[in-house]
Amino acid sequence: MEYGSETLASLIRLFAKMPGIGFKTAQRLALHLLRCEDKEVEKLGQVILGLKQTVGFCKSCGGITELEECAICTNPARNREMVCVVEEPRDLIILENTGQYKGLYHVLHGVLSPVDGVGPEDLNLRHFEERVRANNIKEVIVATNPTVEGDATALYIARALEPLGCSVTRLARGLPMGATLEFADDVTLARAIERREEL
Amino acid sequence: MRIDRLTSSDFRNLIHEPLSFSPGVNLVVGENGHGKTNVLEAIYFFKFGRSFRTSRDSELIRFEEPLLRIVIEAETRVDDREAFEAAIERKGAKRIKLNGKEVPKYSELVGRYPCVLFGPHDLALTSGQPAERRRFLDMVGSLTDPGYLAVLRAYRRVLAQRNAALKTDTASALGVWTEELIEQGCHLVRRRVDVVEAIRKHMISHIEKLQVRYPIRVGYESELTNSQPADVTHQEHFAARLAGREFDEIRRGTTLVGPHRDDMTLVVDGHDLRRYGSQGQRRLVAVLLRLAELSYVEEQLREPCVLLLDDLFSELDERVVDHLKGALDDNRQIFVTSPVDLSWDAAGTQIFRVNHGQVGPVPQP
Ligand SMILES: [Zn+2]
Repeated sequence: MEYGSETLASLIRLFAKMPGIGFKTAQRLALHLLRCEDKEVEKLGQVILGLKQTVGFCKSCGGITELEECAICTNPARNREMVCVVEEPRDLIILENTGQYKGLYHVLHGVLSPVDGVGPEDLNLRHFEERVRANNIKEVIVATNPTVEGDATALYIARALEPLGCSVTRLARGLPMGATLEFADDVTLARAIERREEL
Repeated sequence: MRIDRLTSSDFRNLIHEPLSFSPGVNLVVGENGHGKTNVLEAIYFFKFGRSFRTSRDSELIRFEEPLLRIVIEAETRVDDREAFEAAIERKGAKRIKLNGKEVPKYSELVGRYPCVLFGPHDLALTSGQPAERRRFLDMVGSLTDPGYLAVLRAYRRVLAQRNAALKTDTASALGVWTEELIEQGCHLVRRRVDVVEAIRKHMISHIEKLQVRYPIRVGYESELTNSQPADVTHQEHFAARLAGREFDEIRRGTTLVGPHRDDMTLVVDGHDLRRYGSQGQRRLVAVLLRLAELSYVEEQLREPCVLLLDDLFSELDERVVDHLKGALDDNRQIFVTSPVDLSWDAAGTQIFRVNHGQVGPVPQP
């Protein structure tokens, strides 16, 4: 494709590599930036440059922060005896948005998947046992996804924490919101019934 | 289900105007190699969204053409006018639509398009590898039990993960993959045992109607269930068998115990048909398995299946042929291919002739 500018062409290619962005959208975004005022584009550039320099992961939980420890880990109002384990920072944000959970988090940055070469040493698990022990955590809620890999990871964590004697629970895997009984497969249904909750 | 019309373009060598079918018997007649079976293949396609002859979709497209289309108009238990459409491109894109709406997962088709195919390849059910019989059980299970496919997929996924864990040295996590394998494996074995039991039950009436004089027994063959002591659970037994093979498994980098190695036993007149048996017995039991699939699927879906009989009658003896023809009494639609004109005394039989891929109805006298 001829754009008359290699810079523009490479920007389009870079956009197109991003998740959820196809070639057409990449082209539209790049041409949009070309039309924007200089100041706007400069600001965007600076923010992107700063992203990797200023944003990092919390040393306690692995969540996103610009400091050494994140706002959740340092918030004295949070329940410090409860930790919820999630696969990705994305999942932490989803759970936080519900406003229902008041404890701390632990972000694994992945799940066990030998097929992809991911073992326990590749997850943010190295200091987790120590974290649970040192902070006298009473309950660990494992909120990995209800996939084969998520299940195995949950099991791995439960086994690793067994000697500590804290309670380890799995997020209730009922029916997804909006799913009707008719279209739920019976494994999901059986689990939903087995792990039914009090109303 | 009843299939009313087939339209196709660039599907293998077929060339035809839209074909309107009889609700009774449809005879597809032509010389071998001219494309009779291709007609059945096009009709069968929507059962699972794939061919029964190849797993490579591009093989279905006419030589040097970029894409094929198949459209089936049918009357089903869901609606009296349903349209199944498929478009496959040589470049790999494949779209299946049901009533104009794209079907993203072909598993949604399962049970929507009930048909049963009888053909020469069925002989593999009785004389082929265990994988052929596992595929048969998994297919019947998926059609009749909505949770079956989910369990099968989960088991296959865990198996792949555990095999990878056995190869790479992530030994610290092998234990959890073993636990997952046991959980999913026990679900799968339990379901397969249920399917075999249903097959066994549904075979009985067909065996009687065919007046088979020797006993035929089917069973599920698994290292897990067959050697299980009475006082341990399936899970414990599976765990013990795995523990016994762990050294071998790590050395070979693959899982050696589990339902992925199971089989269905077929015992005819006291001998193992899979190893010892005449061609006649093997053909007969293969037909019986398909008949059992037919009755079981119909019982579960509460809808008559369409029967596809691919060049069957040259191979079977008259009794079996008569019984299959008798299936018409139950008001099923039937498609039959044959190299020669068959005499089929049923009202409303429509004959189609296939000549070098050209398909057309033969006018009724
Ligand atoms: Zn934190």
